[in-house]
Amino acid sequence: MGGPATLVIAPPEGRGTTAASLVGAVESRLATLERRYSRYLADSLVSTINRAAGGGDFTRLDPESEALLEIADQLWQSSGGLFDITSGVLRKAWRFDAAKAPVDLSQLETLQKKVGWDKVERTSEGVYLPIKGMEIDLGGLVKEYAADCAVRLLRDQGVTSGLIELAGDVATIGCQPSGVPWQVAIRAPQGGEPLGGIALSNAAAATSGNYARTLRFAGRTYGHLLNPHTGWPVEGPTSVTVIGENCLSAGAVSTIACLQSPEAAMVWLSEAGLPWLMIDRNAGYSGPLASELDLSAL
Amino acid sequence: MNPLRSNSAFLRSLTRTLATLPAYQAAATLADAPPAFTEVGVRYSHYSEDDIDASSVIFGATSRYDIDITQLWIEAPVGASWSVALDVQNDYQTGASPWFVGTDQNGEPGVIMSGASIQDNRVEVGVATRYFWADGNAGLNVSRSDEDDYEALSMAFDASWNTAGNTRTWTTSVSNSRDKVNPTQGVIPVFVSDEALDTQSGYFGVSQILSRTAIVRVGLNYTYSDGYLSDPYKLNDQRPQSHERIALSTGYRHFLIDANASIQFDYRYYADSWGVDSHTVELGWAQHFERTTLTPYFRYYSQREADFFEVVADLTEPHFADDYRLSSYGAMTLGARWAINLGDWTFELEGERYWSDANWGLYDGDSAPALVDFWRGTMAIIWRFD
Amino acid sequence: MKSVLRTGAVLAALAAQASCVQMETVEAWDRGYLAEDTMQWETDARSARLKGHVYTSKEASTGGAGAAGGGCGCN
Repeated sequence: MGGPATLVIAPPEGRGTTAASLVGAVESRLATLERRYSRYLADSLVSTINRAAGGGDFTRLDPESEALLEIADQLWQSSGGLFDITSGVLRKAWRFDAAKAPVDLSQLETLQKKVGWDKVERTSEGVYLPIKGMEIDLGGLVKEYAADCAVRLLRDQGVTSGLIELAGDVATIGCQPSGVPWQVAIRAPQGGEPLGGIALSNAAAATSGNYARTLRFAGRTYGHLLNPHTGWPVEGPTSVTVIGENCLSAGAVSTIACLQSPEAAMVWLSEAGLPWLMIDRNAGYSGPLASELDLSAL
Repeated sequence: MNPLRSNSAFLRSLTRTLATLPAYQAAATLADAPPAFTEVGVRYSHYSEDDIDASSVIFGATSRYDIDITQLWIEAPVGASWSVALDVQNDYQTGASPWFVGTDQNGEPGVIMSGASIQDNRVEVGVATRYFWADGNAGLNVSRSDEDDYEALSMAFDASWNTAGNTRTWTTSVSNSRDKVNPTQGVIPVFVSDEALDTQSGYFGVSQILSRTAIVRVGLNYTYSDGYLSDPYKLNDQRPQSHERIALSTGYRHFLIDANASIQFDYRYYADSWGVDSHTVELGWAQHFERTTLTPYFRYYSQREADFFEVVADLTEPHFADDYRLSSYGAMTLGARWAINLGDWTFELEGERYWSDANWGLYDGDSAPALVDFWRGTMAIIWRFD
Repeated sequence: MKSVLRTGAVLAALAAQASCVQMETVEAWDRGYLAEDTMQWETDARSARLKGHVYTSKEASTGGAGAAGGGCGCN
């Protein structure tokens, strides 16, 4: 999944399981998910689907993959097409690390023809990407799904106190062994001191944002999330943190928020109904979590 | 309303889709299951009554009962849905007890104690089996008790089942006991032989989880006995041939996360057809330490005298008794339990002290001179293995 | 016994009410505290039976949270 992972577990008493065996079980589960859904591994399901693009053959799906694609479809619909797992190819036109012109406009035009979740065919036969060069990227969804799978695995083993963090998304079981809820720090976009901590117990916190990789072009700063309709980076909030029952739900809300303008994101977040914190491009804070963290709102 | 569960259309439909994935399905509700291990245990208790005040005694020794109680048991799961248990208990009792209450030369009531000390051994053997299913369990228990002058055969059936997402448990039980009394002629002259009594009892109650740290219960118990119900070792004791009793009980348990301790509260109201009413309150604080638990506890009890009780029995009445246990009085217990868990082994120590006094009760009544104070000490060793 | 029957009627009404009360839902995996041995109605069934047996033989009351069990000539 390509990101730092932290796992904190208090092994349950009297069950004969050790922390080491639980960590091993979680690592094994995460490795299985990576082998299956990573677009960097040649024999993963996702790579198989991508290689078959334009070839005429459907790729069979197991129930888990089918459900993940169904979720991707729901997010595409609810976000007005902004959340699109086929939009990853557009990144090839953008070079966030280069000193040269950041975008190749003619390449962008070509790539845009290969983007569009509505073009993807899903039947009982499986899934098929009809245009050669089309790709799906489940990275974001699977990362959050993996955290939820780890939580489920640990709960089934009787763990009543635990925390897992995968590249900034956190899921918790119970409270810390001392009885105090888990304290999760909210990172400031520019780095440095955390903005504050939120208390989580049997809850997950997902953060999406445009702060990790940015690009300055023609006087504006862009994040790495791309708008599938225009091919250009989204001019969205700097970061959005959402707390939910599970990582995937929280992450879905926060990601879709980051794909919109800050004004539209605020409307989306209020309607979604989960506790949220948004840091807009002027470092202004808003959302119910902002008052909890004692951050001044603009 | 859980703040992490939103009613928004987006989350509702997302949650519906997530529900197809095992990772998001509700964990299997805790099905009732037999214990995962076999348990073998022994418990030894010593019970010792204080000597009776010499000033309350008109005649006889002042020492009272001492009882040694030994309990042995084994309980094991059988297959996936059953468990069986065997219990053996031995009570060895020595000491003297009040024979009757008379009046001394000043007209004050005083106790005439039984002569020499008695020696009595009782053995009780019980066999029980229990069946577990997803939402509850049910058990059957048969036991037999034998001593020189008394034998009893009892059977009890109980069942409990969970509802409301396993937050509510309903419990019911019924039991029956057939007892035979054949008092031994010995230190105390007795005037009856070969008597019998039957007891039927039923209970119905419900317990409710209030939160992740609190649970409450309420229950009602009804018991009916008929047959020979008097005490054959008391000279002036003639009780009715039937006895109806009810007990209304309630309990509360609360876990204090910060203190790592549980508060235990129980209350029982009792009333019967002999005119006895009582209130019982029990309070405990169970403090958890790393591998030990210490539970100091307090109990307060207060009862109203039976209709036919008199300090000095009135033999002209159809029913009479001078047994201090039917008088008005209050009692307090202070005790503590200490348990340590070392892997498969558990050791327990418990001690309590009981004081009774006619002035501590909530009800008026004359003070019986033979009210008893006692202490009890218990130790247990339990081994669990699979 | 009249007060006894009245109390019984009140209790029956309370139990009927209990089925209508909505309590906080506690997930199956959140029952750790409730499962503690000190949170059970009896920490140990046998030791509770012993205690009850002692009090029943020294006091005039019986019963509590279970049907009365076997008999003995406890005096």
